[in-house]
Amino acid sequence: MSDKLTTFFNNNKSLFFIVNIVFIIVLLKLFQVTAYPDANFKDALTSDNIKFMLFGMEGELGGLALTFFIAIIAIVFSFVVGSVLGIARYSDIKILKISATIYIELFRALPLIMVIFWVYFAIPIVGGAMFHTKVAVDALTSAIISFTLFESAYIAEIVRAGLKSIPKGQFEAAKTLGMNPWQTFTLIILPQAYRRMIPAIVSQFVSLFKDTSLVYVIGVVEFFRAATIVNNRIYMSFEIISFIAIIYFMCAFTLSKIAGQLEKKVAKQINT
Amino acid sequence: MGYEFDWSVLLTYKQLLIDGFVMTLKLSIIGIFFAFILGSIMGLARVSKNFFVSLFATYYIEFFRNIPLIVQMFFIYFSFSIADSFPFLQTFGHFIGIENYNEFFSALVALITYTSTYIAEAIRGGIQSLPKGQMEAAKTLGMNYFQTMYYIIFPQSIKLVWGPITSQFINLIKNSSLAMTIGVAELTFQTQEIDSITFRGFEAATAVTLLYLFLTLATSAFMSLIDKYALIKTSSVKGGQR
Repeated sequence: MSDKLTTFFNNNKSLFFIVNIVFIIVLLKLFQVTAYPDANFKDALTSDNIKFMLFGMEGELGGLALTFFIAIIAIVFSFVVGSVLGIARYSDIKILKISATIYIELFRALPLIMVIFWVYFAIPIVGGAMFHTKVAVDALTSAIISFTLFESAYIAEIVRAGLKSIPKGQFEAAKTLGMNPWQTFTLIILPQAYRRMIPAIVSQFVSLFKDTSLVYVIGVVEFFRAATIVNNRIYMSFEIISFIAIIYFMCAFTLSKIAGQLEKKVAKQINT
Repeated sequence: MGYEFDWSVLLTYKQLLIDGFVMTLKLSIIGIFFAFILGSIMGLARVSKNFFVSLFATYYIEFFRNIPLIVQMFFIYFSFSIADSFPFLQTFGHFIGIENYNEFFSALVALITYTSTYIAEAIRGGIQSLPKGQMEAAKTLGMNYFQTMYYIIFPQSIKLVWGPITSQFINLIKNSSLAMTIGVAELTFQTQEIDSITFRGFEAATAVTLLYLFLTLATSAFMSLIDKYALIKTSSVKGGQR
């Protein structure tokens, strides 16, 4: 039976995907019936509450939309910063290499929540000490800054791994064709490396998407914060939190499946 | 307006920092221990030949990996009073010397489920990258499935994926800082505490940052010591031929 099922679902991948999500929701429902029988989803998930959690207050960005906004902006910024850092760590220039290594190792050793606190509380102090003016950043900006600082350390490692995976022959072939180092790097090495890095960067985006829930601590009204606000008002934590858990699961699961598909595709391209 | 540093607050409130450090250690060590066991079981189940066992493991891994850790913590903490439902947790909590059972164990359970999925994926990768010949050779020697897994496959694959597992352990230590959101008094929580008492957040954050650096560096040093002296030495996995 299992063989038949496997072949069937291999042929209909999207169907398999939907079945998975439905199955997990059914499992959750069973769990709720046994462990928490007096849950009342109808009162908790009114259309107003759902609208607030998904899109925030009227006229301003919030909720799940803001979560995606933060994640996308931060991944773009950290892609740029991370590329610079990764190339710096890969390069032969000692001072660049050492400073990039220190940055990457420092940020990879810190918890994200500490980075968020550092940025949120230390920017005014450091700014005040250095420029003798009052530097004020709002929570959203400092959230994006801290995600950029944190994720770029991880992206730098991905970039470095991608650069390392390029065979030496490519450099030599480019040299034979009379290219200078800059041309070699921008025209030959980087495009190939970036293609290999795409799946890893998509999975990094998934983890960033999950990590955006941490800006809860500095009061950005993204998806998780919006849910806790609703929860504080009506105090039905089981219903609210299982709702956001399912939404988070669906988004992250979809994205990680996309990353898996990309990985297969890229592996095929490289091998042929 | 300048900011004048006053590092003496760290000496005044050193007891808070020490308490926080010990709490982080407790969370990390117990969390790493159980996450490794659960992750190994799930990783082995994921590659099992039994369809339903591997299906269960797949659902477990995908489910707990794709929900943010903070959501899991809040879910357990606000929806269930976990220490009241399972009284043995209170005994255990009393044994390791903590006071707020519910907060501590909600954070701990969420950390364990979240990290174990990553460890399971790492172990699955290790098992699948082993040459097939290992399994067949063990079969030829007359070993049954569990013997093969226990003596042949698992030790080699653990050696192979020790690096990713180390980084997951470090991730668990770092993620234990999220326990502050539900009120476990660990290191990050104590930073906020010192900040709110003295308004000296900068100094406290520096000290805590250094402590986290020390913890992660010590963990990776310890893990490479284990790698050097305690894990099996094998050459068969280096070749990677199938």
